Amino acid sequence: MMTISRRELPSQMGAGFGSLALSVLLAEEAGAAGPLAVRAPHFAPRAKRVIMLYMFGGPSHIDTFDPKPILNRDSGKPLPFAGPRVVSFPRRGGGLIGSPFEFKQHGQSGAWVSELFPHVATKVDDLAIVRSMHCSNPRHGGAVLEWHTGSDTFIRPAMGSWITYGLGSENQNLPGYITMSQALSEGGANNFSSAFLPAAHQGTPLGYGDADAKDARFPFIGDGRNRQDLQRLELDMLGDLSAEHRERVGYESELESRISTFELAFRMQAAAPQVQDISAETPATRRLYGLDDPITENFGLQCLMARRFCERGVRFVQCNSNGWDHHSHLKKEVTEKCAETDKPIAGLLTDLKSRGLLDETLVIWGGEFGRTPTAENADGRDHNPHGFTMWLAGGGIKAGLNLGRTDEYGYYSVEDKVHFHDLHATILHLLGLDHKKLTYRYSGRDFRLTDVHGEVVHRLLA
Amino acid sequence: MMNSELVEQASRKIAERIASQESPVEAAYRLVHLRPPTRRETKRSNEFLARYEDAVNEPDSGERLTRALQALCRVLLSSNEFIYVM
Repeated sequence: MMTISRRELPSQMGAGFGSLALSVLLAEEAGAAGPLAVRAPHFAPRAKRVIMLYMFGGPSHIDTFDPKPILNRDSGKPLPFAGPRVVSFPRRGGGLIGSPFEFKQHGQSGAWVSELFPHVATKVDDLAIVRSMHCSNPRHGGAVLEWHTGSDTFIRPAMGSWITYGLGSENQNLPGYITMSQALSEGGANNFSSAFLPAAHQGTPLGYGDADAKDARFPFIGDGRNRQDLQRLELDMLGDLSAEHRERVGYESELESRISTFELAFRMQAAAPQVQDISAETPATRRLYGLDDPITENFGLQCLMARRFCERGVRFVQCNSNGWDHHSHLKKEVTEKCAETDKPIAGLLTDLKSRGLLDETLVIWGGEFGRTPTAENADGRDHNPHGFTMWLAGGGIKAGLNLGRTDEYGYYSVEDKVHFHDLHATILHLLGLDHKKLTYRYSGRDFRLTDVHGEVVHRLLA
Repeated sequence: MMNSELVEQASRKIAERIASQESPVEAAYRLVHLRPPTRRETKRSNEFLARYEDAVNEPDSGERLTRALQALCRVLLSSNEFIYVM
């Protein structure tokens, strides 16, 4: 009896001689060692890995890192210049609203930090604070995607995927790109997807936005009861079947990824419970990250896990703090979010430094945009992609730098402007990658994280 | 996938259903992939069953075969051919 598989039927109807040549090309591509094998950068790197501290919702720069005395003076008056043509909620907007929080200068660098971040304020000499960030989209969906992937219009690979594609990962028993407690809204999985890059570079989510970090486990990783020798037999059998399948249908990124994912999961059965078992961390370390306090425990555990993943050579780790979208009740809610994250962030920086990891780890703090100096709902602020603050620390960063400026009211970046594309180019540069050379051919042209944009911000480099 | 409850249960059910059949390997392929196995697949599957039965440490011969067949079904359920329609 002649049999045609469900998969073969359409391909037999359409494929011609072209597919023969293709199978040769694809066999070469598939021939390389595992997809996460370490690859040499383009030039000597300043950082080996990245920890992204992502504040989902858009943290207010005006209330944290960018003091505006003139805004405070003019609080209640109308904005004295034209606002942007497109704003998120035009009918809820009001006049200027000053910050209720007190600012002080800190450290040798004299960086201004508000009373909301007392612990981070002690670290300013380790930070390069960029007060002139801007991006292109006033809504969460677009801006979150633009930060994560460089594009607010099309589905593109995430920055973490580009980085593991460029460099591989130093631990073959854990994923190269892990994101903890990431929200599933506003782009959801597209924010950590590999898109057209080989599927093995997909970010591996650990937990999700609304769940407690302490309940986050890699799913289906097994509980150690499975006998490894028996599973090995099964995986070898699966590998043989996949090899035959590959002979029939040619190279497929998804198939390669599935095979490598099964193998990675097999190895993770030993490695993942070990990395997630924090019982050996000292009481002092737990206190440093705020694990002894229910307010800081959730983000603190993510920060501690980030350090543990870094120690094990994971290339890109993202910690996510959700709920920074303060359209109203700004004073109460931004105070709460800062309280949840301040001590864990400072603890992470202290811990990385004392373990000698900060020099080779790039830490980035920020969200998808900042907030307006004008009021929304009387006591909140609207989205502001035109001017906001992010900061960097660690590998290759000029510590103690204060870069850029927004206008007197904090609405627009006006000096040393840094777009997401520029920061992306700079992050890749610090990792030893030229953002113009890190390309992937797809659908007839070469793609980059920065597409046709991006300038390395040399002033940020040590 | 291979560690999930669902695959655990489904593969056990299929294994119990085909254990007493004349050619359980062919039955497994017909149930999971809706086609008979190729000669190469039959050979490889029988080798797999023999190796698994050797390794599994189960005194009861019926249960030993069922466990081995369950492992084979778990592999078939995890294969690309089962998971994707393309």
